[in-house]
Amino acid sequence: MNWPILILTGIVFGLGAVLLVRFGNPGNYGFCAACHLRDIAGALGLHNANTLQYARPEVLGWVLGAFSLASLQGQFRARGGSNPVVRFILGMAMMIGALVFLGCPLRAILRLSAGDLNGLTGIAGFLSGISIGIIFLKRGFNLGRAKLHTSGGAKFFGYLPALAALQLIISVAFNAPYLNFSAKGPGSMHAPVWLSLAAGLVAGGLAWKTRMCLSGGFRDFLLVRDTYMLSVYAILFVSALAANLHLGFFKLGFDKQPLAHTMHLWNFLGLFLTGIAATLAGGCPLRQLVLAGEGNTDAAFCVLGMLVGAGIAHQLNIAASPNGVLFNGQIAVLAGLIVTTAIGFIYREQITPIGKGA
Amino acid sequence: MDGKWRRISHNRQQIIVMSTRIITFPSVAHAFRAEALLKQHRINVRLVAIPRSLSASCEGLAAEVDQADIETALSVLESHQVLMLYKGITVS
Repeated sequence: MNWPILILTGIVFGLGAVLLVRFGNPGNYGFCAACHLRDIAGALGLHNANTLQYARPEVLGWVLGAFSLASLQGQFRARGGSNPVVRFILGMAMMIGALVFLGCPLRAILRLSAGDLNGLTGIAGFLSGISIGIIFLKRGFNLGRAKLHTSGGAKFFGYLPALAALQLIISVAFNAPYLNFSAKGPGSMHAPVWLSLAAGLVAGGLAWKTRMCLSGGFRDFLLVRDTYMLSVYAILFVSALAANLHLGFFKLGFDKQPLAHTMHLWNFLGLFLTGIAATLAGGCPLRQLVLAGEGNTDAAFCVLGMLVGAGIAHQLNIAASPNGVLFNGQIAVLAGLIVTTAIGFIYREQITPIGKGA
Repeated sequence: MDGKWRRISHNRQQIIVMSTRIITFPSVAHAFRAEALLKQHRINVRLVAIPRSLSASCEGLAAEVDQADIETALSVLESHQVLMLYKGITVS
């Protein structure tokens, strides 16, 4: 293990997230793949929740940071072709689950580091979802192998996420009139653009380098007791906890936590859905963004699915609010679970059982 | 990679030899099938997370087999139609 890089990555994500809150982001909202993408969806007009619209430079920075470091190290490769449509649907499911919980798995850890015990419920759901996903993997679930893109058009698509991120960063930095900007609510709260961008770029580069992924981390631990990726998250948690305690953001309990609700069943089931979908898609929301940056067009489809999922979640009142999860949200999670498990059953290679094949 | 390295003395020179080889698979299911087959044939095998230098994505598992067993292991897996990507690569 490359401990210096792992420790640095954990600190940049943990400490960085808390500092972003200190400099203006909403509570426990320094980094979040799901909520930030949702705000970006709002900025692009994919939903009309006018308090949740801001093209967050943090996750745009992840994409660009991953792209830059991968390119510098000669490892940018435009590749894909592993069932992009299924990955799009899994992206939607991941986002719907995360918006019912109110955060991606990374934010669940950040919420816990500030004393929000609902984070624990979410992580328990996420872990259970991954356990179900693993059963599908063991039974032969496979979306097929990605190939290097060789034709010009397909190759160009590998660069699109980085180009789109760059374009959005420039637009948000110059208050472009074609983007939506919330005047009130969480969308209006943000750290200075340059600070968000710098944090995002560094975090994205490091996330690419370490290949950190929470669903992959739990999966590897459950399958073969590998703790490489989990160690990044442990360091992240400790740094964020220390920073939250130092800055007075730490408040232990379930109630009245920032951008959170206390409907435990739906906190659990939300990230449960995200856990299954992430395991089938081969990576959590953060990892999909980083992979999209380094040229993986399948991950780019998954990110597009997440953006569309965020749009639908807010237009149809599926996303939770601090008041809880409405009926639509509950139905959407159950529907998401049905669709995701169906994908788990359908995309299965026929592998001869050992008893018969031997 | 501690514990996987073995130092041998040869003509007063210290040469570091990798004592294990890695086999990778297109899916987790193939890796588990390979593990079961190799164990059936009494070959020491350990499933590990796919080494980061081998795969751009982080999906999948790899099997780690002793250097001495690699040929036998590959022939067992090939005869049972286990799909493999890297067949016995050494990883630094």
